[in-house]
Amino acid sequence: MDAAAFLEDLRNEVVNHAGVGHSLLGRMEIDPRAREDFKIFAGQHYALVGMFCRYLELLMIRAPRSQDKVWLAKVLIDEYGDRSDDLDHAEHYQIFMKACGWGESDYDQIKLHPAVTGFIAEHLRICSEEPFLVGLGAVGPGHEWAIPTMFDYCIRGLRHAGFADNEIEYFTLHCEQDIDHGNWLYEALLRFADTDEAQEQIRKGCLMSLAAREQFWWGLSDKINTGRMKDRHPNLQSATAGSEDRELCLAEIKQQIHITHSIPDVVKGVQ
Amino acid sequence: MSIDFILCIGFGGPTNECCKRRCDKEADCPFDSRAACFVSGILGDNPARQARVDEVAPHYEHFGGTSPYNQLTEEQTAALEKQLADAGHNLPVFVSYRHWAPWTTDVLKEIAAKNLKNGLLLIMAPHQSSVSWDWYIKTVAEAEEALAEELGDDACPHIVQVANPWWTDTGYIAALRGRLEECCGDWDAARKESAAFIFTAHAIPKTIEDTSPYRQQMQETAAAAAQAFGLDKHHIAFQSAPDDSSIPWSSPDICSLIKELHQDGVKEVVLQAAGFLVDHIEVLYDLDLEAKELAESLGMQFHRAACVHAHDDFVACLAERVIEGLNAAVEA
Repeated sequence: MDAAAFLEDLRNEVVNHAGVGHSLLGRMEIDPRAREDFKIFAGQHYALVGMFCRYLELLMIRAPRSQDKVWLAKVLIDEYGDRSDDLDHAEHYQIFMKACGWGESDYDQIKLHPAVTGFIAEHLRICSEEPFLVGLGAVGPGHEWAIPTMFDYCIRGLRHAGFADNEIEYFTLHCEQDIDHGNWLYEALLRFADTDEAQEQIRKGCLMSLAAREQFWWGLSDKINTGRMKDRHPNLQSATAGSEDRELCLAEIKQQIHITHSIPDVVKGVQ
Repeated sequence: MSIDFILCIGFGGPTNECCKRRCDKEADCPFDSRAACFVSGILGDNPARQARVDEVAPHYEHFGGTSPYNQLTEEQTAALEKQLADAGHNLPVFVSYRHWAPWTTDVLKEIAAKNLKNGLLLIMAPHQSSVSWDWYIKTVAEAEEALAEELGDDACPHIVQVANPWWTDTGYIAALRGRLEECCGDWDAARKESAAFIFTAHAIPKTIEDTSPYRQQMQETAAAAAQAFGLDKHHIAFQSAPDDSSIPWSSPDICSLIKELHQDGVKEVVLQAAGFLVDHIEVLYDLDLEAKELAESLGMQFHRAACVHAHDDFVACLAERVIEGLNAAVEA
């Protein structure tokens, strides 16, 4: 299959994937969504936003040629804040966190659902252990082609819940930037996806990322349903009682991630 | 605090009447059928899931386009109201659904019109997870909030008590045993010994299962029902997971288990959907058509014991949990 046809098929597969079409997203408009729902949403989603640069950075180190790094570098410059008032994307997301009612000291201390920590672990693994094109499939089409569709649902829900435009700018801006990222990506992938093996690797990474995404939405549903139920009936035991004790927060995860380089013995000590 | 009404909430299924979730009058309904509206609503009306809607809606069309879920549930709640009255608790019992009319807000409005204030919530699902029990409670809380905004907090009825779960209660287990008796109570010991008895529940995503007691409770229900029916061994399986999902759901899937049992030389299977309270479309289609067709294609005999429906013992179990809740509310 030629690269253009492959990419068209892959884009269709992404937008029709159960991770992108999760019922939680579709139900953003159907169900009454309160600001409290989005406080839980934000607390879990922030961890993903905060880790995205790390995946790209890891993958960039492993890119075989400089020209392979170009797309990653362009996206990273945006992620570092070049087109968002010098706020990197995690800092930009903090505007939304504040609007939801989180305090600054909370950001790294929120207990994260295993599906959230699983998402982070899976992407760190893909970007550091899988072949480069698998990693590119995960952070490329697996993210950039999925996010505009998913965020479109989120924005509808956020407006429905009464958030002002300036509070949800992260989402609206990301929709715009990810269309650019997706287009840059398309150009890059046209060059990469020129063999059956390359196409298979890109698709594999993309589907791995979307599977983790589907888990994430379910994990978020778990948190929202349980959290809001407990708000209303604090004396009732939720269905997830006890499981929170095993959860980690973002600070703990960051502390436990160690990226190492292996230096050959033969050059060690040689000045 | 004294309870003056009972609200039961269940999943719901499409009926002959328009649910009006996407339109004010039936003629404006954007869907081709009630079944498509129902399935699409569960999936959040997301175009990405159209293939799933196209796959599942025909299951309903196969049975005339509607589901017996609501009617059968209302038979259970009517029986509950009568049994409560017989026990001296003359309380109105209302029912609403999460995915079809009557919607909880509308039912609460009806309750408000009768000037009833304090309710007990009874969840019509035996096993707990965040996508069943917690979501039901959240759904009712949101309906209360919406109605309180419209009518004012004082005029809005509130749920002040939630009935405890009943997954191994004597009455529920007796009702499951009773349905097994109706299916194969006349079998001799040798036949019961050689057949495989499988209790099923709806599959849920593994990530949800891992944070909830759902599987554990299902195992306990199945073990108690098997023991009550005098079985030395039994199996559990899960059903109705979506084909388009990319993540693991509860396992084993019923069809995989039937194939495995066939390889082990089992010639006869008996299924009971212990995770469901009524024979609705997922039972009628996924078990009575798909699982049966598979088993018979492998040369196995297939039987299915009915769900509990309004079995006297099951209704007694619900009444016990309600009365326990009424007493707890008085003491609170």
